[in-house]
Formats: sequence, C-alpha cells, structure tokens
Amino acid sequence: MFNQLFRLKIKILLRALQELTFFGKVVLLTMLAALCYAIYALCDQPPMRHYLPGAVALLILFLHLRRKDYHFCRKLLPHPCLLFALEYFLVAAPFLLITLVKAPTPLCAIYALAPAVIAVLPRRNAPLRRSARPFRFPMPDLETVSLFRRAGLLIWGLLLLALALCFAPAVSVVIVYLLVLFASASFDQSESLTLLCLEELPARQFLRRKIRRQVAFWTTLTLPVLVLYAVLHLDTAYHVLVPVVLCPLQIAANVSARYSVFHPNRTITGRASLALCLLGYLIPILAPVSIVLTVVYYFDAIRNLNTYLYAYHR
Amino acid sequence: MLTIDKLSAAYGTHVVLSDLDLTLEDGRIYGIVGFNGAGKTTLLNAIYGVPAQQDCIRYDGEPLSRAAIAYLETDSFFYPRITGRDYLSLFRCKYASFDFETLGSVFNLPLDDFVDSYSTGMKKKLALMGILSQEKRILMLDEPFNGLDLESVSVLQLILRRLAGAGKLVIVTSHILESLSPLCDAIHLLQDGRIFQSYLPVEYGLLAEKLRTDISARYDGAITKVFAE
Repeated sequence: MFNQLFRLKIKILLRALQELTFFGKVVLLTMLAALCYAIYALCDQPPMRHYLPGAVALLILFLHLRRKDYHFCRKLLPHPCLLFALEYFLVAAPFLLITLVKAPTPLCAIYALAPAVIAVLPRRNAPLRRSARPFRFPMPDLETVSLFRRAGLLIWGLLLLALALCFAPAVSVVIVYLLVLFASASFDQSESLTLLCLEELPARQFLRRKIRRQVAFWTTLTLPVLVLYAVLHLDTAYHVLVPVVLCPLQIAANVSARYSVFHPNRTITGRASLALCLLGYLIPILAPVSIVLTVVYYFDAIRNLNTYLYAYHR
Repeated sequence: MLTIDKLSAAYGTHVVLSDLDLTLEDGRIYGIVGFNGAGKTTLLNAIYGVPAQQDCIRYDGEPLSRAAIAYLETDSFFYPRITGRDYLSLFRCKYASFDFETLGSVFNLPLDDFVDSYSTGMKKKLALMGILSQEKRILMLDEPFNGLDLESVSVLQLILRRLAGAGKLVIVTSHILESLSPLCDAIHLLQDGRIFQSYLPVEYGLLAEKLRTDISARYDGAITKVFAE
C-alpha cells in the first residue's frame, strides 16, 4: 500500500507538471535553477548557513501541519510516518546535497534528521467552535472573514508582535511583509457563480475592486506598524518602502492567479506556479520575474473572468 | 415569455443539447426532468449564459439579459469557517429590504453557526435564501430539493408558488419526478439532447409510466445479470 500510494502521489505530481503550459514550464525551471543557485551561494556564508537549515525545518513543519491528507494516510497506512518522512526528505534533499557539495558542516544533519523528526509529530484536531458573531470591523470579502475565523488570533498576534518589535531593526517590516504574503495566498477554492455574479460587475472592474479592497484592508491593518517603525528608525525609514511597494503586488498576484484559473465551485489548480511567483517576492533576484508573472496573471484573470462576467459589460 | 429556439450545446465533441426548442411563460412553474447526464444543468447554464450567451434564447422578444435571472447552482460552495449570517451579508448589501431573519427562521437555520456544521439540506437552504432574496424576474433552480427534508420541500414549494403568483417565471430541474409533480404547471422531459415531450399536470401519470418503462428497458437486463441469484 505504501508503494502504491507513493507511486500515485508521484503520478499526480508528474501530471500536474505536464499540465503546465510551456511558459509555466520555463518559469518553473528558471525558478528552480535560481533557487538552487541561491542555496549554493548562501549555504557557506554566515549567518545564512545557520538560517537555511532552520528555515527548511520550519517549511517542512508548516507542510506537516497543513497537509490535507494527514488523516487519510493514517487511516490507510500502518506506518504513515514513513511516507511523511520520505516526502519531507525529498523536500530537504536538494538543500542537503548542495550543502554537502559546497560546504559540508554538522548543520547538514538538520537536513537529514528534520524530515524524520517532523514526520512523527502528532497532529490533533482542535475542538471546533460551532458558532461565531459577525465581525465588528469591516471585512473586504468572505475569504478574509474565513481567514480571520481560522487564523485571526495568529494574525493579530503577529501584528502585535511586529508592533512590539518596532524598536529592533527590520524585524517588524519582515513580519508584516511575510504576514501579508502568506495571508493573501491562503485560498485554494473558487466561489460559486452566484457569488461571482452577485455584484454584476464586468471582469476588469470586478478584479480591480477585489484587489483594491484587499490592498486597502491590509494597508489599514499594517499601517500603524510601518508608521511606528519609520518614526523609530528615521535613518532607515526607507525599509518600509519594501512592504509598501511589494505587498500590493503580492496581493494582486494572489488574487489574479486565483481568478486566472477560476471555475465555479472548484478547487484551484496551478498553485505550484503561484508558489513560484510568490517565491520571487521572497528572493530579491527573482522579484522581476514575479512582477512580470503578476502582470501575466492579471490579464489571464480578466480573460478567464470574461467567460462568466461578459454579460455585465456596458 | 422565455423562448428558446434551436439551442445546441456540446462539451468538446460530446453533444449535450441539440436543436432544443422551448417556450416558458411568466407566472408559471416549469419542471425539467431527465436522467443523470441528460443536460438539465447544461440547459440552465445556457439560459444563464455560461459559457456564452446564445442569441437563440430570448425573453419577451429581446435577447435574454442575465440581470433578469437568479440561478441556484447544483452545488453550493461556502468558504470554511463562515457563518450563515456572514454568507447572507453579501446578499443583504444588495437586497437590504429582504427579510432574511424571518426566512431563516422559516427554514429553521441557525444563522450564527458555522456553515461547516450544517447538513447538506441546511447548506442548500442557505444557498436558496441567497437566491430567493434576489428580485429577479426569472428564477432557475437546479436540483433545489436535493437534501431537503419533507417540511423544507413543502415550504419551498409554497414559496415558489407565491413567487410564480407574483408573475415570476420559475424553472426547476430534478431527476426525481415526485418532487416536481405537486409543484409544476408543466414538466418537460429532457432526453437525447432535446425536449422529448411536455406534460401538463393531468398527464404526469403518463410521464411517470414512461420513465418507469424506459428504466426497465435500459437496465433490466444488466440488473438481472448482476443479481441473477
């Protein structure tokens, strides 16, 4: 059963790769090459060589806590941890190999051991509340309502942490930047035709409004942190320009990518290319590629939405 | 009056609707029945203009505008961890005069509970509330009775009759004849990509008989083979 399930997962991955357009494949290869180069360049430079294994371990932990097939695998396999460990090891393998080639250090052990350790971590379903009151502050859309119901405490906690750490250089800016990046990328489901057509807006107007509302919402939430940071660090206040300029682009990339493959009530596919696009907003040398991708997504989204919203053109 | 004149629809090479003709009058309730895959949803999608508006569909002689239609899809999607009230707030913004609270209590829906905790029927009722709140002249409901309990089916039938009485055109699809026969002014049987025949209430017995005969002819052999013992 282990082999069959693993083979099935490989098959699904290969099929997803095959379904990428030629442009998507080129972007994927470019991003992967750039990622490998970034690992190669950074894995022997302090302090990055210490940060990298930690970041990889955190990434695997995040995957483990978020994976949707966790309970399915536990039901199906007698030792699901073996499958999890193998998958996580495949994620860590490029980091391990490149580090071993460039600068073997004891830190390589983290790449080798973290997958196995994280794979055995148990996951429990938290007891769910059955009801909730409406939010008292205005939410831009139902996706954000859903996000705040699921991770509101975490988001408020991170914002407070960013506010509290404003005295330290750069930390608050990084927290805000990553928060917006991950929060706006958290949806993988398309709404129904009813909701899409509710406002009776043409495609371009619909998309612009969606992006504008999200940008306004996250600007309102993060502005106090950025202003306080700028006030406390007048000489390096220009740091806040990074989230001010790039966060709206991240949001535009996420929203556009979602609607570029929109199909009513379906789970969104093509998340790999979106993840790569967002990677560009994390690795500065890839930022130009991501900005180009964002523009491509935007026009793709308008084209795709026109299939459903053409009736509202005036 | 909604008129459809020689409507065709296909998915790739698979033809679903072929030269379908249909005339539906305002103030009446029409049922569309057919087996799974007969093209009921495709027909409603075509009327709604998905994927593209067809010139052959006209309303009062003019090309049909989507703005005139409220459309309940077969499956209703709800974001995780939203409450019924969150969902309805979207409709409330646009249709503020509609009494969501009363209809919520009629449908017995706990609007402050998360939709994740709703049963299939409750989700259907929530989606229906959104659709019913829209002040549109044409109401299209795709399998609205799926998952509804007996009481809710009766309530929905009552509501639809009231809306038809107010002059709205109501189109309801189902693969279960029994849910349509007490409600509809006429039922159209969709078969082989076209309206095979239209039945008035006095002829519903004939329709039921025809469906039974068709099913027997189609599946009796296979069922006997599987359950020979």
